[in-house]
Amino acid sequence: MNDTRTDDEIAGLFAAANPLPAHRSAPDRSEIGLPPTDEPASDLDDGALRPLPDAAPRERWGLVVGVAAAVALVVSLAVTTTVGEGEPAPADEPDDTVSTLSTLPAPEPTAVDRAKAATIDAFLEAIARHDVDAARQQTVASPELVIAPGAAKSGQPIASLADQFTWMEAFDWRWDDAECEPFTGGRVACEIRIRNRLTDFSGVDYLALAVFGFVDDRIATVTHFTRSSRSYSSAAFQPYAQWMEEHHPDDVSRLWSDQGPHLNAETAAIMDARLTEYVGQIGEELAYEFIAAVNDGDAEAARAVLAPDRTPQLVWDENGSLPTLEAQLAWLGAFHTTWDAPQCAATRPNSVACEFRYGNRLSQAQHGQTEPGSVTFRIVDGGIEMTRGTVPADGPPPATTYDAFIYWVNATDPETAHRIWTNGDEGEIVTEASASLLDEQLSEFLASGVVDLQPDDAAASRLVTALNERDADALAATVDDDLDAIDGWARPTWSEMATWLDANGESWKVKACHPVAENAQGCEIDVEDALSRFAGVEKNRFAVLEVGGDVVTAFSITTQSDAYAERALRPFLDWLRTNHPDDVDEVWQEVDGALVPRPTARAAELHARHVAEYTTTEGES
Amino acid sequence: MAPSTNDVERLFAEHRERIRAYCARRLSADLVDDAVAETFATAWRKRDRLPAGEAALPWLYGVASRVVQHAWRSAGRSARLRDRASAAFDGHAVDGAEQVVIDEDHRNALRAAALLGDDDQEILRLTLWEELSPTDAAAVLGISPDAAKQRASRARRRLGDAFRRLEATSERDRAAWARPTPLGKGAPS
Repeated sequence: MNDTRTDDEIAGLFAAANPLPAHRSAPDRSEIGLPPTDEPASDLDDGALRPLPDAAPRERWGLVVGVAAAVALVVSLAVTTTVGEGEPAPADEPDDTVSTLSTLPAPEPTAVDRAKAATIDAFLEAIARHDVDAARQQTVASPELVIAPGAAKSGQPIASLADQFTWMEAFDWRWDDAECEPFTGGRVACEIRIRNRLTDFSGVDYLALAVFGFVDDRIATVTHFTRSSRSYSSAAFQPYAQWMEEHHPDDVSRLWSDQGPHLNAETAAIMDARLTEYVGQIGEELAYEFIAAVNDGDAEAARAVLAPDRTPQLVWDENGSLPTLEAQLAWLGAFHTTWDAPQCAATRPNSVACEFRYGNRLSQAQHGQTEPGSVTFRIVDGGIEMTRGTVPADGPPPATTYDAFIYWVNATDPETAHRIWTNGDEGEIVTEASASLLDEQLSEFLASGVVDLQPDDAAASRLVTALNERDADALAATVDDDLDAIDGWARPTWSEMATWLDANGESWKVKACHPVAENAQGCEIDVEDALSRFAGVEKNRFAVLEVGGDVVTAFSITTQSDAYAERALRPFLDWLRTNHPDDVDEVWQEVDGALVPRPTARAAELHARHVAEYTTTEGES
Repeated sequence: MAPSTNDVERLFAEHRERIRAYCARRLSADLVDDAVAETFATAWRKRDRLPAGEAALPWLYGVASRVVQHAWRSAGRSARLRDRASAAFDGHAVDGAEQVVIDEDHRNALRAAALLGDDDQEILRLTLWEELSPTDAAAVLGISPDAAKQRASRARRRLGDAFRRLEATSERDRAAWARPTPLGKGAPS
């Protein structure tokens, strides 16, 4: 024990415990240095410069800024935007006892010389286009340009402009929103907002001060001087640098020395790849968390990974507008929606795509059916935003079951149906209240067991078979009473109908069936004929309602489609008028403004012949 | 005499390392760059008040001290993305002091200093780490030189007291562990 140490000795111990004694430099891993004019320097650095090509037009600063107050204003605004809500004002005021010391005179508010302003403007435009040749046109023959931070290292030549551009392009470095003022020695100092892939990703950008020196109004020197950012380094760059050291330590030594980055095409390519990988990994993590939040119906967790003020479009509402995140998640939650087995991967810089299996309690009730879904996210502002999705936002799979559910609600509780869907069966009304009703209705619907009906059992299948086989007896056994039950077919006899089915070359196919009530289901039947097959379009669709195994009604739910009329029927009739003008009136007649075939055997015979000839000759041509 | 505006950039360059070290002694490594940048950006904005000659460095320290204080206050509100990145990659900031200070006496000196009030800690750092004169430290703290002298003297005395208390505690602990326990006498007190 040593109890004889004096205060001075202990103070000496404290002084010696200095983690950074005067002979040691603080580790300098920053991006932006403070290079003096005669010793431009910078540090561990990423970047390149390139204004956003799709950004709002930059204000023409050259002729109007030039006032010291403008710089102060810009800095103040930048500070304001980077300080979190509720944070105290930045500590930027030295004490009065200091400021009363002799000081420099405040800069006079004068405008930047027009010629210099134009030169800088053109120079920044060249940077925006990654056009190193255009940039050179604004400089003297042998300029000293430090544009990419780290382009100048102590005791070494400044990196070539081409290498600086290449490096900055890898970082997608951009200079924007320049605000300039006259500086000493005929120079011009500009506050420039710096953005790059890390700022895009983190949402933290910063202001840099660049000083332009001139000879004969051409740029002779450009120097980074200082920057203003509350958190760019800590929030954006240092995590990246740390990640690099952990995952690609060999690249770190290839990319950076103690004095800053090595700027050349090779290192730029490495940087480009590593940035993509880094942002992709972060983005994947965020995407997985978002999907988990969707599955949990946890809006708070979802919002924690979403970029500020971004609301994904998971469900459409009645007007196609965007419901609140809470309402959307409540809606999906009512369905017990799950995005199962997600697989997310970075697809391109700052983007992540996820694929998964989309299911819900309706699909679970029908043999656990799921459908593939995918979403794409952009990584921006420190979070993700959903840019594209192929999830069935208007209803879960299987769609026919969802339709059946809508029919069922309308049949059992039409008032509630009108509170969930517009007009009872149209667009979704996505609110938390409607989601609650939806939840109740879905539970009742599933408890009723109606989804157990299977399409294979549908009388519609027997109906279709009878029609396709032109089997009058089978058809009669299927429909409720007789052919008259099939509304709107306007065929007085089965013989005439069968004749026209043959003439048209019609075939029928059950598209889907869905229950509409207990022991009742509706089926959709697609119809095609020789002309629709030739044109590759749908003709029309029938709906069949069956109860207790019998077809009780059938009706066309779509008339001949526009595509059929335009691409199948119209060309055929044009061909007919040209090649068999005398037959037109014998086969076709106008009824209620529409051209329909005559219900005669002769017309059917001619029509079959015409169609065969048309599809043969036109198909060959 | 005030420096000419031609010297502003050079002034910043000359003092950059000292300001960086000042920030590095007070902040975790990941916060240093932002603090340095903010200090100089603020100084640039206030350059019309930048004092001449040797007074410039204390003035810059003054700016830096406020930036550091702000960083301390906002450390708990750091960007969620950084937290996320750290969590995702199992990273952690390196505390320079933990790495460098390995001697027990030095550790005790730091621990003793940590027991003092903020004002005492800062005057010790300014005078013993930044090696500022009491007058310059006064400029940083915005107090009179006499007040700075008194505060430094008081802080050294308190540091000594705290250090000796810590040392006595560790000596007692060591003695307790080393002392044989007499049979039937129970554990040492």
